[in-house]
Amino acid sequence: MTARVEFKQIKKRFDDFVALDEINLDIEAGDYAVLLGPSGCGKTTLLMILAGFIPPTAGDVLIGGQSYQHVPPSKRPTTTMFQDYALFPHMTVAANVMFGPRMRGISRRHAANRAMDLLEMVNLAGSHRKKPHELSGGQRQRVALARALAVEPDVLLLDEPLGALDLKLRRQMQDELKAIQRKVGTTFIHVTHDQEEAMAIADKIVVMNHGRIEDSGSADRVYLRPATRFTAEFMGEINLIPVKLSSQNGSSICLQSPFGVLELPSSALLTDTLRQGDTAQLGIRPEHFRLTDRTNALSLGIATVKSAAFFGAYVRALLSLEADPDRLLIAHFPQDSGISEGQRISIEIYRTSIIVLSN
Amino acid sequence: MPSEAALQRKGWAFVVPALLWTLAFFIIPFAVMVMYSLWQRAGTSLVKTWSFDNYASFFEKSHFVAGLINSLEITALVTVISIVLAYPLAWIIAERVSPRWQRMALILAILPFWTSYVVRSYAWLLVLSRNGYLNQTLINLGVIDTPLEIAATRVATVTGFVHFFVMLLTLTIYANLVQLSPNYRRAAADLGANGFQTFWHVILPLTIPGVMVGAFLTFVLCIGDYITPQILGGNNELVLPQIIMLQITRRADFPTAAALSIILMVVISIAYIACARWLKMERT
Amino acid sequence: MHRLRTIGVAGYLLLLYGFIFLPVVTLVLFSFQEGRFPIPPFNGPSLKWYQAVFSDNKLTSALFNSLMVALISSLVSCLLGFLAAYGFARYRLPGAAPIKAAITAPLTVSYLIIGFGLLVTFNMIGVSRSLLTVGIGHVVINTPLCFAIIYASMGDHQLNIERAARDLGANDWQVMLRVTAPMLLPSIIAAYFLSVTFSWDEFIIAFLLSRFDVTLPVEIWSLLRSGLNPKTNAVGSVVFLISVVIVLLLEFIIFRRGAPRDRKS
Repeated sequence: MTARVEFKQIKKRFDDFVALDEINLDIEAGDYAVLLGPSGCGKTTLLMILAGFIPPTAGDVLIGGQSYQHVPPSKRPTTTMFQDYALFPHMTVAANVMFGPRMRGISRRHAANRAMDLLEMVNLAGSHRKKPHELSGGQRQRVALARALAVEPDVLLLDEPLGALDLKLRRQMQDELKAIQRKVGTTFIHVTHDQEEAMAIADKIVVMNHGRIEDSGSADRVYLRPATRFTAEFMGEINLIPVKLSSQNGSSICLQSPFGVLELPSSALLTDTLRQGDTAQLGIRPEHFRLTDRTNALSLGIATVKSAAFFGAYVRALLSLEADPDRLLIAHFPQDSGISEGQRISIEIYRTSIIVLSN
Repeated sequence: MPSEAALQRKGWAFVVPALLWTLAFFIIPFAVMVMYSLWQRAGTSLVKTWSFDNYASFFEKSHFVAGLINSLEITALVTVISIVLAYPLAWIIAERVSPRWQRMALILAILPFWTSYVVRSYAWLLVLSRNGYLNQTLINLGVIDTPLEIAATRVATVTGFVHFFVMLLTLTIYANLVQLSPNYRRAAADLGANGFQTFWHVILPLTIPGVMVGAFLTFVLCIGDYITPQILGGNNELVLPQIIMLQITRRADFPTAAALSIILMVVISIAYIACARWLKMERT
Repeated sequence: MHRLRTIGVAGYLLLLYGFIFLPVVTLVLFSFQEGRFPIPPFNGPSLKWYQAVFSDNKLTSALFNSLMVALISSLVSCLLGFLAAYGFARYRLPGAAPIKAAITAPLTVSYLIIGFGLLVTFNMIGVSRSLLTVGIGHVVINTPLCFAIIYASMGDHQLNIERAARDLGANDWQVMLRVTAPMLLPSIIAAYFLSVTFSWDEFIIAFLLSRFDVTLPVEIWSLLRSGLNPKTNAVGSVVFLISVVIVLLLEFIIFRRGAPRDRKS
């Protein structure tokens, strides 16, 4: 019902295009993992290799510790939920869900019972006689989920399952997917390019770019302490400022920045390859700017608000520091902060939320 | 912004030329033909009194009814044989031929389509005639002693038709197969279906509507065709279009020809309605 | 098991392609026959029947007539079909469904019936049969074809491009001629050439509606009365060659779209 998945040095080449370059990745049994990255990063290819639709050029995949090289998709303990759902349009909802069990030789009566149980779980028990074209997008998605779970896979693969839904429905389906995964305990591997979706559902986020894994870990770790500059930028807006490492001792580091010399705790340093004198990137998330005095805060001096826009949960402002007037910084302030264009404000930042990334 | 009525007038202006042409050269001629079918021929002149005598005589004269039955039998036979032969060919091209060569394989499969229709039937006559290619080869191989009489029989007509419609149906069925999302096949395989099960439960049902459209096209073109039965079937077992042409060219009996044409059209319309209703049922 | 299937597939392909090509190969082969009959044994090759074809005035003028009728009638069909498709696709016309059905109706009626209907009508109003009446008949059968092909390719995605053109100051005619028609060019060309090949090969309407000047299929038909004759093989081969050249040109020049394989991540 659930299994650990290990990718061992997976490589995939299409002609002269390297789609995957030495992928090593472990996903624990029962985890909800999300492969996240821009289109063309290789995430769907990796999923298709796991499902058995595409053979890898080199490397192996272990499911539950067992290799499945040369095993066709029908004989693997995985099932896939396709992006276009691939519901069979000529069959009823119930017949779609029954298809897998029937193909595995389960009697019609047992298959029907299982189908009804699953349709009940996804709240579609009343629609079992309908054809797929009579359902809404969200309902089709649920049928696809029920159909994939009907064969009781160890690992369920979801290829951009929420891509076709509108924003509100997508948020709702995220919660449902997560709840269903908790209930059945199956390992879910989900592919998306939407980092908010990834953070909303994942136990483990795997960030991919150009056929490589950039970072993997829990949502908060990947967002707050990203392993690479690509991850930092892909997970959300971030201000990156070039700095130079001027000195380093046990508990703190000193950086030369456009707004003067900064002293930070050494935990801000997310890379261990930096030596004194090297250049690096200072990363500040927009929501980390503060208007008020606080202990342990680092003052950035006076800034001018170049523009401000109300974004619902926060006000998004572009700031120009007096110390470094040519650079625009993105900052989020509370709804009620009363920030407006042209205003001069004094800002600071919580020292431990700043990070330093290698170039 | 022009008013809605003005926009509509403009829209109709684009449609009017095609509509007028259809009216003048299709709908009115059809009405004239209906009118003729209600008139009679007496000697060399027309008697313009209205009656259903021509339709009545269709059912009285056994060779007219026999012509319709021949037409239906040949058409049914041709449609079934063509589908049975074309489906595997289309499937092999779509599934077994590498994508690089698919287009080439398809172009090759329908290349003889572009021979002149008249010439194609004539070419089959070359193959099937008493001293033709087929008989000579079979005699040389020692399979038969005396040449088979295939030309001027129903077998020749059916062969000529099947040749044409295998090409047509291969094209339509292939188009149907490749436009299916590959994810259907993947999903079926993923859920545990083997190759045959995937074909039987998923691919075949999904292509049946396309096959039905092709079958209907075959039916319409086959039942209305004059050339193939005339060249290959000769004057044995006449089909309805041959009888109609006889009325027009030999006997100059336009009223009877008109009545027979309308009977042919009614038959085609019944097939059309049946096919359309079936497709509609299939969709719901 | 796997081996057996491969053999089965290859055998089926061989059989079907053999069946499909048998008459064509026979036709072309015996057009080079030396003797008087296009039946085995083959003796040749000889080009004398091709010579006979090209020195036969009736055949060459029929070829010319066919080309003229095909090219001109297809032009009219395409124009009528395009205008109607544009009207239906770009304007909301109440009650359009029956009109659309009427325009496409000739597709489901046998050519024999269409030709005969025109014959009795022309007969009644005293129009004599000629290449013009043949052309009229061919426009009747090809307009719905052109309409259907062009209409099917007019999607909503082009609507916004046309709106953009209108927004930038183009009037209705400029939009149609400079934006819509060029965008639809592949399907218009496809419709035109399909219509040309249909008209060029059409027998029954041409037979019923022509009198002194005839088209090629009708001339070949009268040639058939002389029985099996290598000259008919030669004409047939020439027609086949012309059609194949047109089709291959279309395939390799106009519709050649390099389709790189989908690389989805």
